Amino acid sequence: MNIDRRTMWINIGIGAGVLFLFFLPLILPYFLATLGYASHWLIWGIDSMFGVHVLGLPPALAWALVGAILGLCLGFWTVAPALGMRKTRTLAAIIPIAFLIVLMALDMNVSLHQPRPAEDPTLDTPAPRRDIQLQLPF
Amino acid sequence: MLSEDAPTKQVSQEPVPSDATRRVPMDGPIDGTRRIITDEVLPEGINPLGYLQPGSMLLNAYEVVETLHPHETERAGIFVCRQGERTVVLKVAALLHPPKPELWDRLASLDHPNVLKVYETLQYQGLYYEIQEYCAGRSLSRRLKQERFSPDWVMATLVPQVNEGLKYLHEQGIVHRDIKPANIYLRQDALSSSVVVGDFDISSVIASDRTSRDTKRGAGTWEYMPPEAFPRFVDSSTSAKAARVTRTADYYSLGITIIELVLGTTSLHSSDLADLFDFYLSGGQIELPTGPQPLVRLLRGLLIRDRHKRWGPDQVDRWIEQKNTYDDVQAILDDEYFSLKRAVNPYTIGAMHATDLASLAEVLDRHPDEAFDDLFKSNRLTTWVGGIDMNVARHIEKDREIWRAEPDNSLFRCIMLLDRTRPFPVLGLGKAKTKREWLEKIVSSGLGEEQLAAGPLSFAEVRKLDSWLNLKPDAEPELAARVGATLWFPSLLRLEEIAYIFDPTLRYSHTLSAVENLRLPEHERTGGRTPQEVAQQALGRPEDWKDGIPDFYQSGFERWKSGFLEAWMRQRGLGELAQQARAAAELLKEYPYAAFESFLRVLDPSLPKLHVHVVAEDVGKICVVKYREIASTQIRYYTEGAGIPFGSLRLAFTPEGITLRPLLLDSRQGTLTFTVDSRLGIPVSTAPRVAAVEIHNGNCKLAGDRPVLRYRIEPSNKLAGMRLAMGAGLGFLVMGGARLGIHAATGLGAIPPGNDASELMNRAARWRLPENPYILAFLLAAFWLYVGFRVWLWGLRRSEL
Repeated sequence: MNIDRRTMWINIGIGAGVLFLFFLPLILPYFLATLGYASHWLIWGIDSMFGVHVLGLPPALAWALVGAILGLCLGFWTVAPALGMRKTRTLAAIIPIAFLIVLMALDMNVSLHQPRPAEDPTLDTPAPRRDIQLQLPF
Repeated sequence: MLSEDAPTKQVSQEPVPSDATRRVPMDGPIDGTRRIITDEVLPEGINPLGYLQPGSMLLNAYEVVETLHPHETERAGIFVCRQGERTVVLKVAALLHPPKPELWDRLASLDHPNVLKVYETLQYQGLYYEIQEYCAGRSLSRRLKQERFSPDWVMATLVPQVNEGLKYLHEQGIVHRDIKPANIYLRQDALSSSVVVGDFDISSVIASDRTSRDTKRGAGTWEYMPPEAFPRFVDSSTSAKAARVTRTADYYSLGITIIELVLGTTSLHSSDLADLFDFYLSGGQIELPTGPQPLVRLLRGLLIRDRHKRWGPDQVDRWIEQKNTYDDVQAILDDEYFSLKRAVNPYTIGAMHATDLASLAEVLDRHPDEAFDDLFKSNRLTTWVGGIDMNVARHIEKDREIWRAEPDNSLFRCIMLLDRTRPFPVLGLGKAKTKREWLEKIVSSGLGEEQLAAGPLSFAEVRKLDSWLNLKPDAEPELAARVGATLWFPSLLRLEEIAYIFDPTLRYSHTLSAVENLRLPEHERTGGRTPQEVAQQALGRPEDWKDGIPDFYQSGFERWKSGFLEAWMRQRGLGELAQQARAAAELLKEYPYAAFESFLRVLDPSLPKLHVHVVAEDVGKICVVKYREIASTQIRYYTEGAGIPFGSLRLAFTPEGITLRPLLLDSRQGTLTFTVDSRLGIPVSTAPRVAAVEIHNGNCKLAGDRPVLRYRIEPSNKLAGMRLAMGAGLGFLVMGGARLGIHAATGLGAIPPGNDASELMNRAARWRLPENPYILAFLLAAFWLYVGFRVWLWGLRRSEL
């Protein structure tokens, strides 16, 4: 890409950023809502992947176990040459990851059939707040 | 007929002032002007006739028609007169310059169609009268004012007729001495009429069996005078200062006359007398017409400066017939080498006198101290030499300035310039006439090399040798340049190099110096004649190498290191090869023997390679290295063949971390050291791996069992356990902590997501940054711990590299 085109895209980027900041106070509640929604989906997806629902474990414990497995793989990856197992380390890394993928598939099958929060009237949700304002210096 | 009181036809017997001439007296100082001699005594009671009106009577019989030139004290009067029907010219001699008696007697008897007829000579009332024929065509100089003469007329008419006239005069024992356009007349007023030579004012009479006569009276119009007529010049036949009257002088003047007639003037006419001396002394050439070719050849013959070789009547006759001989032409060519010399006073130093350049050289050689003073502190020497040969003087002066920093050489060059035939003085060893003799004297002197270096081969002496080679009669400037080029070498090398220069057959020996070699009888001399022979002799045979480095190799190496081999090559026309060889050696200058070997191999690329073997016990050694550690092992080798091996070593197909020292072989036996550094990523192995040694480039090759390195890296279990434990533990803590932290901080993940819009708004409203400072601190600490850990790992890796 030549310098003119690059400059053009940089200018467009800067312009878009300025426009975004300009309109941010207007869309702030919706923006934050979108972030929160996406975050919930992300955390829920990772929980599913680590088998929280299918194994019935507390989410933090499930994450810690998976972390230990991944750490073990990583440790083995670095230390395999010193053990003369340079060629085995690829296999040793693939097996736990494959296990996690299988677990995720099973968990998603279970968790997608659970009741949605909106359908559960017992869940108590506080009233939405409308007074959130971003305090900008300008 | 003459009247009663007509003067007797008798020359006065009273003494004539012998120095009287109306032309330049040459013995006096030269100032380039025509001088009047003031101490002349005028004849008493006689007055010049001056200008005569037409109708005046002369000698009571001749009626003046026209005064061509009035009669004066110093100039002759010329009057056109009529006597009856006959027209004649009356010439009255100048008062100061009465005619020469011996000539005066003969004038009336001269009778030749190309010589001006003098009817009668008379002395009347103290005046000398010549009654001459009247030439209607007047003189050529008068005609020259209107027109130039064509080369064809000059060649066809003037030259043959003037030649006849001069021949006649010379047969009569008369040298005209003043041939010029003003003295050559046309009998009728037409170019086709005959040409006559006249005006015998300063002619000389010489005996017919002599070709020249010394005279104290230089005379003539100097533009037309030949070099020998100037009393300052001497040629090879005399050392006297007197000028010479020669028959061929008239022909020289004729040559100048012809140039003036054809070109209108000559290059000499614009110069004054002093210039003319320099012109002749510096070997200047008179500008000739460009054509036609026969005329130019004639002029070159007439203007030959050597009076003995100058063309005379015979050559001109042959030229007219177009039958010039080889000798005639050769005389013209020889004239280029003819040099004129000045007459001089002797040059005196101490009790010695020099009269010519050769004797001056001897005098200077014997009195070097005075010679230095004369050469450097004054111009006495160069002035004196300039009086004899200006070219030599200029050469000396030029050399003096060039070599001012080396006065010894300057004086030596000066002496050589004065006498180029002098032998060369070898310091303390006599004199050498040839370069071979010089070498023989040096060789047979029995002096040690250091004595030679301080004596006849010192810088100053070799500089003189250089000068001598340049200046001797059979000068050898190329050889001199080669000798001169040795000056910047150390003196021993200089000696060797000059020996090779002077004796082109001398061979190069690895054990003997050039002088030692020359001291041997011819059949006992050793050494190589070609670079191949030299290279082979340096190495010898493989058998010579059984007990280590042989002496001849060592001595050859030392001689090479001192530059003697290159000196020999330079002087044998192998300079380029020597330069290539030296360039190859330069690359290896840290390994002197390797440099020598590669030098030899440039001289003879066909020299056999050396064989490098591994000591049998060392074959198959294994180097075991623990993971992340360094270890080394050694393998011994030895060499077979003549010479000292050199070669570049390398390991084939090895990972990073295995090194070999040395990387260049430069001795016949030694050890190779392998170093294995397992920190640099060499894979751990339970079975030994092999790294092969290779030699690339150099003069040797591997033979027998190849020198190989066998090595193995041992695994480390402790390290492996720590890594696994740390990985698992950190993974547990980080992931678990992250899930806890996220939930505690944001509440995310507590409820599965739905797709209700109001629900989304609720979640968004509830989401915020963590308000609990402990959780915030924990998150930040975890983040920075992780960053720190990565940096630590990165640093560890860097330090291991």
